Amino acid sequence: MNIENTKAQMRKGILEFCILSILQQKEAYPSEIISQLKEAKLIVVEGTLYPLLTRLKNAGLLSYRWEESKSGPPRKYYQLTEIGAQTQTELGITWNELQKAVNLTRKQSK
Amino acid sequence: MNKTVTINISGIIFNIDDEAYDKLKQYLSTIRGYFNKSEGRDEIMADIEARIAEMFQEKISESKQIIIMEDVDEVITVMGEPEAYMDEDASEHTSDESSTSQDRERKTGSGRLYRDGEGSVVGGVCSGIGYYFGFDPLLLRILIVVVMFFFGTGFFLYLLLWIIMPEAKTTAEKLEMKGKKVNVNNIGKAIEDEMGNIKETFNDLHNSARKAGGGPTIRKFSQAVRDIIEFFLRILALALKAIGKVIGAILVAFGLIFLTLFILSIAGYNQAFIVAQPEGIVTESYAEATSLIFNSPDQIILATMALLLIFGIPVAAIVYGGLRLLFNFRKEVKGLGLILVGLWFVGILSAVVVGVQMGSQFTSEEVVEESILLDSIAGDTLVLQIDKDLFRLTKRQRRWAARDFRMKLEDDAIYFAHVQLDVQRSRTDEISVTILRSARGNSSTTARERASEINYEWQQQDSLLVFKPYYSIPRNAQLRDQEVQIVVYLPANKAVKLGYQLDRIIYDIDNVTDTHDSEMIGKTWVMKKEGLTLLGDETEAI
Repeated sequence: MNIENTKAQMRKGILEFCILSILQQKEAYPSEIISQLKEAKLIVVEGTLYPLLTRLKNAGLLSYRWEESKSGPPRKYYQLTEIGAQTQTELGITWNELQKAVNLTRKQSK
Repeated sequence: MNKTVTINISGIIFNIDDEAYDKLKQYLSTIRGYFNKSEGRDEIMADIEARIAEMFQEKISESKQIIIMEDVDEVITVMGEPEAYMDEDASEHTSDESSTSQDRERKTGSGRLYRDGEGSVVGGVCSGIGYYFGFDPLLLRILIVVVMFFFGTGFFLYLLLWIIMPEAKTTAEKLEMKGKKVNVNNIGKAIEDEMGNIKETFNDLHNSARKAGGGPTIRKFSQAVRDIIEFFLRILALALKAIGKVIGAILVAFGLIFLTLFILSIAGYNQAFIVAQPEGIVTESYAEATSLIFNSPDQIILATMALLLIFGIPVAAIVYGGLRLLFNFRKEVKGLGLILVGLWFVGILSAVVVGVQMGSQFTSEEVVEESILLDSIAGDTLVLQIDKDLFRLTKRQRRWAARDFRMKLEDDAIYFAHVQLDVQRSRTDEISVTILRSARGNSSTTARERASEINYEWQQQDSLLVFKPYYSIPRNAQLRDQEVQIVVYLPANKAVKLGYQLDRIIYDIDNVTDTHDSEMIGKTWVMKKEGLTLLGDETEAI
């Protein structure tokens, strides 16, 4: 078993949820999302983020608007849609359930 | 001093160092290859480029106006190695390949030798090699076919390459297959990289052999062999490219000239068209030639179309091949080959149809016989000769006399210089001349009619028979094997002298001494019981 692989899988699973949670507070552009994730100690590179954002947008969970920037090309500011907000709440519930389940399992094996 | 490239990322201009540009380009195209259109590839790429542009702008200043390799490396680190871009689905592929991705890594990041599963004719070997070096595989395919046919060795080489070269299945592999083109600038560097790669692969081979294992070693081995072959192929590539261009130019020139002449002659612009007749080869214009042969305008159209397709399409294909070799473009129009072959078969079919129709025109042959008893002659000797009037020269007739024509189209009629005269023994006591006119047609009535339309002239002037050396048919008639034969029936003990130029029309006259026609001229022959005997040679008393 490849442990790096499993780790990556675990992270990928919750990454979407984290992005939705960040955007739930306030709209943001990709670089901001990355630095917020960094602050939360969840390291992610642009390469992983962009396809993900686009996919979420195509699925209708996110929308964006353009904003001109003085120091470069215009930026996309992402925000949650209605469905996005609902999804975030649902995933929040799932996360809590999972958390409980995992902690219980760990206690049991001790 | 270094060379820079000017690029536009997300609408913003940057000057970037040549080598850095290559790396950036490779990075972007590798990533691009990981997405397919449905995933919003274009949008993602736009986002990525925008971010890169942003980062680049932070690096540019008054004192530093160029994006250099370090900048690109930094961007790649921040944005993530290409593997990071891969989607969940794609990652399934790579997880069991990750162990091999290390030994697939190359210093240049440029193409690898893969078999092209999509653009393959047989096994994609030539296509893959073509992609690798950036030239059209057409030349290589021709080369291999030629070598295989004439030397027989190509087959095993091809098979070997087929086994060694893996097929490019994932998008990443397909990208790698289409890697860097070889050009004079980077050939030196490319060769260096190749050497490095070969060394690396051999080291891996050595290591894994030590670790003991059958399977991986074979793979490593084939890898090593592949690297060596790649090395030599690179050198070969430049040579092939040059040759390819030359051959391409020749093919294009040849093809175009042929097509032009062909179409011109059909359109009737010159007398370039050649008609082959039993009477010989004559050059006439296409329009005249077809009206002579074919019955109806429909047939002519069909036959012309058949001709154009049967000859035009292969030549057009040659020109196309030549252009591709010359200009190095690889636009494969799917199905074009099939369409062309199909059209070609239509041409063949049309030709067959016309052929069958025409065949029926020749099924019946009829002969119109006309026997004329000659007025009695003074003496025993008949003199046969060609119409001397022929030599009383009008301008036109001079032309005829001078050259041995076979078939001539004149305004009033079509003339054939193919009369056949024979001398045979008469069954009666009288001298007679029989003119046999024959022709073909789709029924015996048609054939007979046609035969009667043949016109032949000759005359008797006492003991002199004067024959015209040609016969004619009406100008608007079709060529249907019209022929004229003359038999002069000579009773026993009468003689015949074969006069001036009669060899033009005599045809294998039987004689006792088996003398050849041309030898018989100018001499007198007596009809004996056994046959024609040279006067003076008679041994029997009358």
